[in-house]
Amino acid sequence: MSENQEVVELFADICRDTFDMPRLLELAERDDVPTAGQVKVFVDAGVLGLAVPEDLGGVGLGVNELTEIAMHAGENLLPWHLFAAIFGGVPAIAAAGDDVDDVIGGDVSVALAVRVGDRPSKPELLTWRTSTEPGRVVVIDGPETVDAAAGVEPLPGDTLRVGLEPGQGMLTIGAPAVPSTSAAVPEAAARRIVRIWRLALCAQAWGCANALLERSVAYAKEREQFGAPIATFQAVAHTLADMHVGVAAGLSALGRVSRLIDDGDAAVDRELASLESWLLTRSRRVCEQAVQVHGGTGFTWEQDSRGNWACTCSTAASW
Amino acid sequence: MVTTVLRPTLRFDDADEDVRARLRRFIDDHDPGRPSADFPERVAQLRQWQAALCAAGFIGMSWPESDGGQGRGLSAEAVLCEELGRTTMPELINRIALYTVAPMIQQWGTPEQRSRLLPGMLDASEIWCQGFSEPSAGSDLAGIRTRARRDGDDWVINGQKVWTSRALWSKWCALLVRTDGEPGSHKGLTLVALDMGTPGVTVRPLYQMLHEAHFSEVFFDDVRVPHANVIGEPGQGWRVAMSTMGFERGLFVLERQIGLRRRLAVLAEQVGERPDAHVKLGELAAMLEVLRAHTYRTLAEQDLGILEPGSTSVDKLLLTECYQAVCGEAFDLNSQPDRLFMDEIAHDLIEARSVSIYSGSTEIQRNVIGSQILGLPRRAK
Ligand SMILES: Cc1cc2nc3c(=O)[nH]c(=O)nc-3n(C[C@H](O)[C@H](O)[C@H](O)COP(=O)(O)OP(=O)(O)OC[C@H]3O[C@@H](n4cnc5c(N)ncnc54)[C@H](O)[C@@H]3O)c2cc1C
Repeated sequence: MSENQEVVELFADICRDTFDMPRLLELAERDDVPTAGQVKVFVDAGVLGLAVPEDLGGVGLGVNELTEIAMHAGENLLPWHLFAAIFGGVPAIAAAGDDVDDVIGGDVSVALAVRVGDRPSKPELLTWRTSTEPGRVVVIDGPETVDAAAGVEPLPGDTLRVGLEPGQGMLTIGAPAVPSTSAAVPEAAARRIVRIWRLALCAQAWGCANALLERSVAYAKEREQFGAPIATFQAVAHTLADMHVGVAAGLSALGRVSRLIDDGDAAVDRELASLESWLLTRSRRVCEQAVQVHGGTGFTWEQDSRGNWACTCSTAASW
Repeated sequence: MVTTVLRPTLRFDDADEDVRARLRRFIDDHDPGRPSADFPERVAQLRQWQAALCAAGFIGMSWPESDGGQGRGLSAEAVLCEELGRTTMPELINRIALYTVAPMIQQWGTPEQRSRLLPGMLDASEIWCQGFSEPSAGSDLAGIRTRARRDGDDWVINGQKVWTSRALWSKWCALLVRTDGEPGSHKGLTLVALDMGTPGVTVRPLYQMLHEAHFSEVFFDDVRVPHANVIGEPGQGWRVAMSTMGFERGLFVLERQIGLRRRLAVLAEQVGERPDAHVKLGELAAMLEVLRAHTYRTLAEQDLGILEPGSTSVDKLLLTECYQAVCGEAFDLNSQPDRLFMDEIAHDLIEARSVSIYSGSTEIQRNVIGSQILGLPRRAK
């Protein structure tokens, strides 16, 4: 296993250990962000710097490994703001020329504004430090109008949307506020960060769907009705097979788009848009099918297919 | 089962891009023109086109040099598919032979069989068909009743095949027969290469839903086939036949995917201005992009020899989804209240229904995924 592959495995382990199901349910019940202690586990492991190039003080993972990281994040329902920090805020502030040691160390948090406009290949990224809780990230993306607020310069021209994360995986729309101290990320770096960010959202949704497929297969082999495991009923088996088609094809497409980004291929934006359109919808379908295969159990709070489902739904909705 | 690790994808290297450039020049200079509406004439033109491509060195590029190939990767074949897709004759007439039967003979055949059977595939001088299905053996191939009895150096065949595509103009048939055991068992099946000109073979065209005779019924009355034409060992036919199913998918699905892109491009020209069409066309384009990515993965895994058994059922199911979605949408977006005539769009709509039936139905593909990939238990009998 290569060194970077070990980092991916380590990340998956930390996710599983820190956010097991009872803890995730607890967070979800309070609709809360992770505790400082939970964030610290990730900070101590250097996870916030995974997407930051080595020469800027980060771990410098390649696109393929970052995609795998996002897949694991989805499988393990990594809370949204940690996800946003890894793939959005921290690499952006590093690329803007800021020293990221304290950010990666979790002492300050980062805000990020993404202005995509009608030219997805030329996104603009603005980033700044905030005084909110350590490790928190504000992500701004998509089209929505900005109001000028006191002490805040509205971004000229294009429109913006703000996504704040009060809790588990859900996006809410808040008032945008971009301070005049914000720094712009150079164009090439901005393009790469936004591409990886969009890919990571897809990979995260895929992870949600894959986790639910695996759980559904295990459940269908174990749960008995009419004197036989429900997996022996063709209607159930074919539902699982259809879920597999979505997950297997999604994995192929993630692999291809990752490599195109890695190669700096100019054709990637079209493929990325296709991936988003298809995979986010399909992953949501897989999650819905998983609930059906689990029957009444699937509709209980403890089962928490809800978390996965909400994750793919909100991701799908945010684009 | 899918794991959380990215899979390989097809890469095109400089040598592939060189093939692409040469192909483009060749196609520009030798544009085959629109094929004739007359069916026999069209078949003749398609044979000439493949022969011309073969003479220029573009057919069988991934075959070993000892078989008349160039020992390139499947990426070179993918380049051929993609570039042919831009011509008026996008499909190779002998593609069943090239994509399915040839890899089977390369895996199971003797050196004599390779040198006898492979060259005619390349220049389309010898077309192949696949004789698996029978009236009582469709999804359940174990039900095969066509029998072959050993007589000296020959096998003597009696029985019937059905829905055999291209049988009418084929020189050879990859024929699955029962040499032992009773219908219902996978054991006792044997694959033979049958010369369709052998006395006792009768081909009767069977009209499809589209009133085209693309497939046929084939009858065998005391047909003698030399033992030297058995591919693999007698009794191994099931394994030999199933290996063709795996080969069939990669390039075949890539080719179909390219055809669907062309249809979508035509559709965009026809109705792209309409706002109600935008989202639909976008969704279809996205779907085709994912299909392409998936075929690239299958071809890459095939090249690396790491394709998992049963995994190409995903390719078949995805292709079916795309095919029926594209053709269905083309029909809906062009629909007129008094539409009763058969044009290209209605033709495609009907043709799309066959995709979920041939080469293993949708239900059978899902059974395969359930048992071979997800490891689901079977129903107790
Ligand atoms: C255009 C076309 C070209 C063809 N070309 C060839 C060819 O060149 N060579 C050749 O050998 N064959 C060819 N075929 C035949 C094709 O392989 C068979 O039609 C196919 O395997 C289905 O068999 P069947 O028609 O007997 O249907 P059946 O097996 O009778 O199936 C009928 C229905 O029952 C379903 N079903 C059957 N078994 C199961 C099960 N276990 N679980 C759930 N559902 C099930 C099927 O999915 C289908 O919906 C062609 C068919 C078509 C339509």
